[in-house]
Amino acid sequence: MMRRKVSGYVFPLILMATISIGFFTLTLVQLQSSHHDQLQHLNDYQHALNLACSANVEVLSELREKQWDERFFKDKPIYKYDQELFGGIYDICVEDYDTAQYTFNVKIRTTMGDRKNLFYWRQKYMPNMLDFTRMAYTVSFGEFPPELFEPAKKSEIDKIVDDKLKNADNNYAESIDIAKNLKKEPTLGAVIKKLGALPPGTDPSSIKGESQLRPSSPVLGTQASNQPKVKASDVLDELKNLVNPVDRLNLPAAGRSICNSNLMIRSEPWGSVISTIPPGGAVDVIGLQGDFFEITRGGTSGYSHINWIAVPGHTPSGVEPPRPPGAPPAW
Amino acid sequence: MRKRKGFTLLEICIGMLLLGGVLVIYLQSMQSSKKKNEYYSEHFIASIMAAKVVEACFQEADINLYGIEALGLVDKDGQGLTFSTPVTDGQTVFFKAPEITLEQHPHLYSMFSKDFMLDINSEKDAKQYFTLNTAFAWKAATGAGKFNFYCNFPGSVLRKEPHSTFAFPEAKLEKKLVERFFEEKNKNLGTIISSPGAREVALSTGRIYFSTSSLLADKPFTEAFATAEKLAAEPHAPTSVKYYQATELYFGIARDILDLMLFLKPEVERLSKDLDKIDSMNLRTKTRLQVFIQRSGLALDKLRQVFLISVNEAASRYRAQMQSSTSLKSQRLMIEKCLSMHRLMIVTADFSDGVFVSDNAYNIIRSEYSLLLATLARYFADKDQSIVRLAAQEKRFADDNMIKDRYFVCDLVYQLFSEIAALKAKLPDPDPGVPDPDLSVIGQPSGNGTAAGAITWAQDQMNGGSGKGLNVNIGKRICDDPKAWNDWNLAFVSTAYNGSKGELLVGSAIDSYSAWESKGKVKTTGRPPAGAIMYTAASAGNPYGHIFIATGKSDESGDPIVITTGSSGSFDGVREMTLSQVVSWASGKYLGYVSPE
Repeated sequence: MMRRKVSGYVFPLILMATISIGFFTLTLVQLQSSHHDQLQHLNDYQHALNLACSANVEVLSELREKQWDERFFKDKPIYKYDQELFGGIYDICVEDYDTAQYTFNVKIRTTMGDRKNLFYWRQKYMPNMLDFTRMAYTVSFGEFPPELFEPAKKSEIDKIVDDKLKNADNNYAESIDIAKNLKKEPTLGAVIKKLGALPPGTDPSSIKGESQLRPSSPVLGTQASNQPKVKASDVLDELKNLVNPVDRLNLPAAGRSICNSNLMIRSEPWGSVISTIPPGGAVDVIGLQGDFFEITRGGTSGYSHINWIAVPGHTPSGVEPPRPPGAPPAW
Repeated sequence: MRKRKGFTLLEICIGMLLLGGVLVIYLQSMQSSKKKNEYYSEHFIASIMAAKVVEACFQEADINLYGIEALGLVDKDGQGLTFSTPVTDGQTVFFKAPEITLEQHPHLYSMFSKDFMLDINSEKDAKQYFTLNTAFAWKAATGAGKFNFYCNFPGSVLRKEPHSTFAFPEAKLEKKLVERFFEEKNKNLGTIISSPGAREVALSTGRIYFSTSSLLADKPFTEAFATAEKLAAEPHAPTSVKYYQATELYFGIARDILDLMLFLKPEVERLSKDLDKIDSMNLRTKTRLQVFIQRSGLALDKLRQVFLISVNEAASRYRAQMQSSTSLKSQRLMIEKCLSMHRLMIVTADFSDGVFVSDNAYNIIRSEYSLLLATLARYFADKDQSIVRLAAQEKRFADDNMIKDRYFVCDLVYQLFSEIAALKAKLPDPDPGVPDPDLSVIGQPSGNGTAAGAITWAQDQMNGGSGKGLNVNIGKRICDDPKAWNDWNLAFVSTAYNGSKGELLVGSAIDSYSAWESKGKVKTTGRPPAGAIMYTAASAGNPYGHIFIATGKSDESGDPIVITTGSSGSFDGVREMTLSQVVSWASGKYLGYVSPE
């Protein structure tokens, strides 16, 4: 009985083994395929990112060529579809965001195989000449669902970025404080404790190296200058005297004579005298012509020298002005 | 029943064949799987490493305008180079720090040492960006392995057009010029200045003068200035918010002034080149224009000074902030800004007068820059190779005097400051005119303390005048004795100013000069205005020096006309004569003048 039973299992065993090995082989092939897909996906993503970065470099390059005032997206958003670069395909949108702040958005949607990725840059053009090694910098960069590329979704994606920036802005001061406080902690364990990052009931001493002193950071040896400089405000004051403060007045304004005798009102700068202003007399200063204020007083319009009329923002020198060469005598 | 007892040989053979077949497939699959796994693994590593190379290029180009060149991927002219190297030879710039060694990374080392080659081909596009093909090639288990990324990187050619928010509006310029410069109303500039060349000079002067005025009238600018100076004077630590705030304010001040100055550069060039085109204008119009040309030229020089002080201050503060910052990101940003400011200082070192209290600006600027570069190279050697390469590159640029060639703004600023220096040297010295006579002092014993009163009174002591000025020292007047003021030159000038100036109430003319000089009031350049108090030095024959008054007028050759008292050895009374005649007669060299206000 036993022998009959044993001999009856040989073929089924072979069959089972065959099927098992077959399944195992199939599974292996599937795993390999999955592994390959994952790697392919990673490579495709890196290709997509490179493609998007490269396309963004081309946008910036065009901006370099034409300068901000003649930027190609000045009047309206520029959408381009199915652009080809380095064997990949992308759609691109470049548009002003806030022209007062020189910000603009670049959206690039790449297609690699059947997969799409949307990359978004908000960039700020730097018009100033002191940052002369940089034309623009990235205010925000992120990846978003590809469908947000479409013009109809513009406000949606912008809002996400706005919120993200606002959030970062709101948290900035707090994050600085946190970093500052954590820097003071001497050990890793103390940092973890301060952060409250341990699950309840966990013994901090169980963390590897928790009691190890944090190495002090090496210090960059750059230092402030010890060479005393000329005081900038003194130079600015000299500059303010060269460019007469009278040219910075907001006219019309109320004025008054500081002359301790009657001040002449002339028909024109260095013209004939048509009237006078008594000491301390009030006038309406309506303009500036040469070194004379154009004034009105009691129905008389004429000109009085800036050295004798005080208006807010202008302290007259009270010095008798020299008559310019070529100016005719007043009388 | 007998048949059911076991399997036939045929059945066993079929079973074994089936099993053998499946085993062969399985073993082949295993072998293939091993090879593919190895290939995928190598491919994956290659892609990661290629991504690392691409990222390194972006990092380099981000902080360094010439980053791709610093990596050795293009030559100094920006032309592409082929870069091909084994990964583990310790020379590959991307895998040098940290280096892939057998001791540190045995698995990677064994993989990369098998002919794993990094090849980069760079190409410059017409639009001045670089396209890099980053490729890895290796001997894979399945044959030749190959992986590559294409990527664009920003080029090194960067130019911007200067813009300034303080530029005076062109639409209003001509009207403003006519009114402010030329004292006219409702006239075209063309009717006042017929010469097109002179008109352009006037317009350029107006752009400089009124744009500078706009800057000074800008409340945010002046408030930023005041705040920066206030914060800088307070003892804030470089880690504090207020220290950072002051740094940014100084940077902003320098930025605004630089934008304005570069915007005005064409106007400076025109003034410098065409100044003689105003010679044919009528006297009054020309003098008015000369006044504003002079103010504009001097204002530009003051802007230069404020700009350089602010740039130095900002750079110095960034250096202090960098020291205490532990964030590499913020350090990189500060390094970028700091280096740009140092580059500007280096190229304009010859124009740095009035920036440092010490007069050794050139050496200060160069030594601070060298120290900064050496410190950066040392500190970042094991942290950020892009900064090390940047520092080395900068040192080479500075040593080879290439900064102007490499950075367009440095070149522009150098040109601008050269133009300002040239313009300053030839600024006109406009005739300041003379005040109307102050009739209230005629016949009086002294002047009334004003410049106009001093000149009128002095002229009243000359021949034809009342001569009633009283020399209180001897109780005499010219109307009674022509020698009343002989050898009393200091008393004469002091009386003309009614004894109102303390510096004139001293023992001798030369003492009076010393009193003004110690207060920094003496000027030696420019035309002395009406009423200016002038001096010649003491000499062997005249140990007291000589003092006299400027009339504000000049002779045909531009020699100032002055009023002076005589002496027992020359003439009696009070006369007008030229400065040259006084110097010759008084036998002392001309020392300068003090403006009357």
